[in-house]
Amino acid sequence: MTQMEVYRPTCLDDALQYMWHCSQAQGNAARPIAGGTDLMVAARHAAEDAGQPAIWRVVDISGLPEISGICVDGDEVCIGAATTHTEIEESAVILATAPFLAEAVATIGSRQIRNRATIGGNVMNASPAADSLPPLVALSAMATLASVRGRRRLSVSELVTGPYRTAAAPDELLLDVRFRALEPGARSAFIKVGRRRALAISRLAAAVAALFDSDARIPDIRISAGAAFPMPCRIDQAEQVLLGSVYSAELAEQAGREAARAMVSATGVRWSREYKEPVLAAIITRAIRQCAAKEGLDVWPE
Amino acid sequence: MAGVTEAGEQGGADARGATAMVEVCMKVNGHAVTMSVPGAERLLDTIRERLRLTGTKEGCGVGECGACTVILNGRAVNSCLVLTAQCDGAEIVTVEGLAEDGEMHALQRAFIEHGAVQCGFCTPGMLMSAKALLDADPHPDRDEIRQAIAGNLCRCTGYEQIVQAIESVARQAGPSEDRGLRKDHVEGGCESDGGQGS
Repeated sequence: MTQMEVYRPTCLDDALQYMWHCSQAQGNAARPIAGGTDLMVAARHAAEDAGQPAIWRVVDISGLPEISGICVDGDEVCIGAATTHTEIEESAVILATAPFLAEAVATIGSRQIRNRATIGGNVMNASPAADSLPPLVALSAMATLASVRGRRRLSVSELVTGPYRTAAAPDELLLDVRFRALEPGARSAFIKVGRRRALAISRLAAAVAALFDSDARIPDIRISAGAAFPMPCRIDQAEQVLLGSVYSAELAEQAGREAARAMVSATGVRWSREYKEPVLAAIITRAIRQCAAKEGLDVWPE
Repeated sequence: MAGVTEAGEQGGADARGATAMVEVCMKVNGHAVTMSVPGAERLLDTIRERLRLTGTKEGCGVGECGACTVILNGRAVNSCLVLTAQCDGAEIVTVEGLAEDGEMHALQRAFIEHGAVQCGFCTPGMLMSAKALLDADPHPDRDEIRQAIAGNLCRCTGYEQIVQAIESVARQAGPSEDRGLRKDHVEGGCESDGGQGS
């Protein structure tokens, strides 16, 4: 286990001061810990890695009230970075405004993991397989970063710049993610493919939100995928198939194929293509059809 | 922003209050303990090696197996992924905190009656996940029980008996079954500080 110097701030400003202070020391930026479900695993392996500092500077943000909990702020839903997956999956606000986000975080790890792990950690760890990212990106969620230098907002898709990489500076802390509630009546679905049902890391995931009007036309559709693209994004090519059109299962299938094609053109032809291409097409199609089934426009896909 | 210059004039990180050793006060099985631990110490190590409560097991050490499950502030957690430094003011229940006045907890009796213990290594973690579930919801259905123990691996694969044991306790539970953490029970061996090795 890597040694740690642990700082326990009493308020957000304390935490930011400490992070700024550590950022001045080359190569030894402070590492925020909340649930620890990624950081503690990394610390176990880091001791063997010569590139890692011998002592990690860790700042415990788990108890900070400024960044915990879920609230509605004007027309935005705001989830504090230190909010646990359990709190999100049980939140009446999230179930009403973005049910597929609740579904997505409910698939992460185990009960024990979800009781500790936070949405801030899931976003900032920036794993390509992070299950909160597809619904957050589909929601066009914004992230708030803070440091002693000030605050800034950027979209979650700008924040995650690559696998395990973010646009946050070493002294910046994620405060919250915010998004506009889905339109009343919008349908959403999240589908995850893992190697087993519990405690599995996503091999692929699909997040879809769709609004249907009374003529089964689709005025709004958001499609995103997990573990498919180098950076989380909405899949414009797939959305265009359905946007403004009258729903049909055939269009859902065409959108799935477009999503898979977009993945292959973004990642290049890799060894996993033979598996991932048809599977992504299938789960995107299925997630769209689930949204339509909730609207009574399709049968629930098996 | 205020404070930037001030922080810039500080010396090492420790000047801002970060320390290699941290003071922690917590309640374990209803018993207050205070100690000073290295920053990187895991709650699992504190429980096993300082407090000598060796019922909690280490399996994988990375949150995959659930053998180290304890109840932290009412929720089941993997104690291998929690820093003791994060537990100041916390209430923790380990498997040793289940029995009361020498009487086994209903879950412990049910595990024995249903043959839900084979090699026994996963049992403490299974019991704590089950207790956290029943504390939150005394009448879970079978699916909820399976979900609650999905993070606990049993390499003997005796899951069916474990689910049946938890179901039997859920069936017995009255509408106002004892909920929450007990605070009155005193466990032996909790006060020691600085115990080393296992």
